[in-house]
Amino acid sequence: MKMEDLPGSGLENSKLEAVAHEIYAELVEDACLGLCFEVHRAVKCGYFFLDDTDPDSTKDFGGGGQGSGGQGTWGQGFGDWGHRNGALQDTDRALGTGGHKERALGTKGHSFGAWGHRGGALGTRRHEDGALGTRGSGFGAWDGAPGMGLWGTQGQGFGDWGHGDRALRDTDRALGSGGHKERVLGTRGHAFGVLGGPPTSHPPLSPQQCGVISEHTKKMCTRSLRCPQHTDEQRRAVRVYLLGPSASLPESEAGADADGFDVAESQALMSRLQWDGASDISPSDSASSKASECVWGGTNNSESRKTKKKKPHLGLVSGGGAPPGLGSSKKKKPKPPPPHPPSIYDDIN
Amino acid sequence: MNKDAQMRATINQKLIETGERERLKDLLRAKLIECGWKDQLKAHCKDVIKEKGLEHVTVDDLVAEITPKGRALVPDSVKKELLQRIRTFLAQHANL
Repeated sequence: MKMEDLPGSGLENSKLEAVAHEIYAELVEDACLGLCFEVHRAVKCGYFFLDDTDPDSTKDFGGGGQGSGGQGTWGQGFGDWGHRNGALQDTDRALGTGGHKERALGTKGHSFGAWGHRGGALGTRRHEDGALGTRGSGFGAWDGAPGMGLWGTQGQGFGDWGHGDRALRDTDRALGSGGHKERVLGTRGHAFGVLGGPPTSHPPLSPQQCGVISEHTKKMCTRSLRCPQHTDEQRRAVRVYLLGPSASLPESEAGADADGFDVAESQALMSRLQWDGASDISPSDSASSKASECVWGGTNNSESRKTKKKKPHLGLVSGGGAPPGLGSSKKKKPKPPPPHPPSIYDDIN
Repeated sequence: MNKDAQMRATINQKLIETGERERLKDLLRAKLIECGWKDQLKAHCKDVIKEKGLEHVTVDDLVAEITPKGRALVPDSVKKELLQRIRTFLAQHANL
């Protein structure tokens, strides 16, 4: 039937009116349905009641991302990644609202891009007392005081790492030993260029921990200071590099050794064995002992060994003498070479 | 199909083809927002949600509660204006 066939002039008004009303009713129903879907979606997504938020309370909770520290991590004011009432808050992807006045993530002016792009999901959990943890893809969350370092120091206004409470237990990688007053991998300012790779691969260096960084796994040795796989030199190198030239190995560990195992002797033995070309490579951590400087310092394996042999402290001090971020931030970190076999040792010998 | 149904189908088709239906929808939506109809219904939605529970409320619940109220809350002025536009459309196309 064509429109032309419609009895336009002859159609009774009532019929025309009925059709018009019908169309109108459909339109209104459409509008209602649209509203219902919209509301339902808002409810399920959790933002339906956002309008009811009291602006004062929002301000009180530091909403809008402008906490006392200014901008958030990415300069976008993500707000405080925490929660005030002590309950841990999951902020998987939602940009957190409420929470501490401090900025959970980020420092003023310094880019945490490397951290920020890993994984995408930020999932930070935060406890009221400042303990930070990560979830999901696991970021190190930290309290950033403006211009402060990476894995903070309490003395420099960095976040308290944990205090050993629940939040710490939530971390994928134990983010630091809570409550330590001393510097925990504290580097100043712009350390991220130096770290290059994802810093999350290096948990904070505990004083009781070996800490030598594996070349392959890029992880720190988590054994104790008596770890037979690495030498004191290597441990010292890592500490000097990361903590500055004044850093030293804690002495107490060796002294507190109660099992009769002579650390000094064993270290000497190990070191002799290494220099002799005997394999220090264990199946589990094949080149960790060789890798400590390579990962962050930008020297390769053979270089570090040569440096060690000639001037045992030169490389270490130069690696850590300057603020770690500045000295070598411009250097590109070469990828650690694959474990070489005997040719290197032949050269050295 | 009887003649009436045929006629309705033809009118609907013409409404869609010419884009008039979309235009009418947009007009209605704008008018409803302007007059506060949407806010009123949202407030009612909140009551429904609180009553049913945030986790348990479904689209069907909302539609069942909201649609009758939505129809009733449309202001007369909006209704008249819309009906007038529909009539005009019908008249135009009936006279072709």
